[in-house]
Amino acid sequence: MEDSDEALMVRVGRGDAAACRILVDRHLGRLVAFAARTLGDRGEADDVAQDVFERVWKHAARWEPRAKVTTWLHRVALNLCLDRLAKRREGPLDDAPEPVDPTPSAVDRLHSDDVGRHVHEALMTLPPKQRIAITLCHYQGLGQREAAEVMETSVEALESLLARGRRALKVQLASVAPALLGDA
Amino acid sequence: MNARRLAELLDVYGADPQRWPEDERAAAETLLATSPELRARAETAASLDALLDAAPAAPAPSAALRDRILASAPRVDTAGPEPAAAPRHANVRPSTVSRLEPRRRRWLAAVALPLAAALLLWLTRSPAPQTQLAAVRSTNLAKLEEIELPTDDLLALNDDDTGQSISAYVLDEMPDIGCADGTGLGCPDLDELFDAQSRTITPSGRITA
Repeated sequence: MEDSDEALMVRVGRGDAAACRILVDRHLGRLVAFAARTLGDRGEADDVAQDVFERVWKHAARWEPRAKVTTWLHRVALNLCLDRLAKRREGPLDDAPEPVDPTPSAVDRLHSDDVGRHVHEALMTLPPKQRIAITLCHYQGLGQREAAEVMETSVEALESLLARGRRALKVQLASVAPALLGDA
Repeated sequence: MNARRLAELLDVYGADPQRWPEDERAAAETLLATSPELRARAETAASLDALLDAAPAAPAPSAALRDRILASAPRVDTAGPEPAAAPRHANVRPSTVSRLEPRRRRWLAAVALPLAAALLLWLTRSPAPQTQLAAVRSTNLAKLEEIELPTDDLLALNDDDTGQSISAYVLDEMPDIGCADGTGLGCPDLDELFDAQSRTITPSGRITA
């Protein structure tokens, strides 16, 4: 029978190398994906994932299962990502959108291969909190309560972020994929 | 459940009922089946879902990253099917200092010795923290850094190249993760918890209360 995350954390706290390997193999991909979508930078995502696990190794012996391990891992990863985003801005994180690349790829040469790139670019222009909410709920598959817990906000506030984010995406993508959005 | 809430669910979570709140799902699906207008709205939401799914797949983690992480993991091997871990120094990520630009490295070098000396002096004169120095610049646990002297990690505290003082919290020991702090996740509010122990480290390495 497969060990639960919580059982693995206990074993990691005892210095069980096998448990460490299982925990890494179970969660590393999701954490890298989350950080990469949040930061838009693969190298930074790797650093964040490594930092998350360094904290796991350091604190596992004192772990108390007050939250799901996945929730805590995402929360630590999010905090690390927010710190990096704040450093980029040299100011507090707010709802200001990410700087938009002034030379976006030509929207009028949209082919099927370009759709994904346009979606990625549209996501990266969202204010970080909206992008994080969409990443947690749509890509990471977290439920609304868990996503709200990760973001340290209410479910109502999470829903507001999701609605605003999806609305903004629809506006942006309608210009490049109107048929796909039923707006042709 | 009413039409307005169902429209909200579509706008917030998209058209896949599995993404809707579990306690509203059944009623929402029943209502959706009866409303052509809401089904049209659901189709638009599904189109946006499909576009989101078209975004490039997130990159798979590299084997090198996995190796680096496991190289820093606890060392008691109870299963052992995997090759012995490499020496710690072989897989460590490039240090904060080595990744910095030369100008920043020079600046850090200029402050490294005074900072380390000041901290060591302070630690030897202070009666309380003998095991470690923990410092943090923000209120969340992810920013907590455990500092063991002497180490380059000290430089990471002041790598902004701004010449500004930084805030630090000096603790006797690292706080528990999952501690009984009432937040549900065990991340203590360090500002409140350790207010009495907060210190400022100036660019010259001076520590002030």
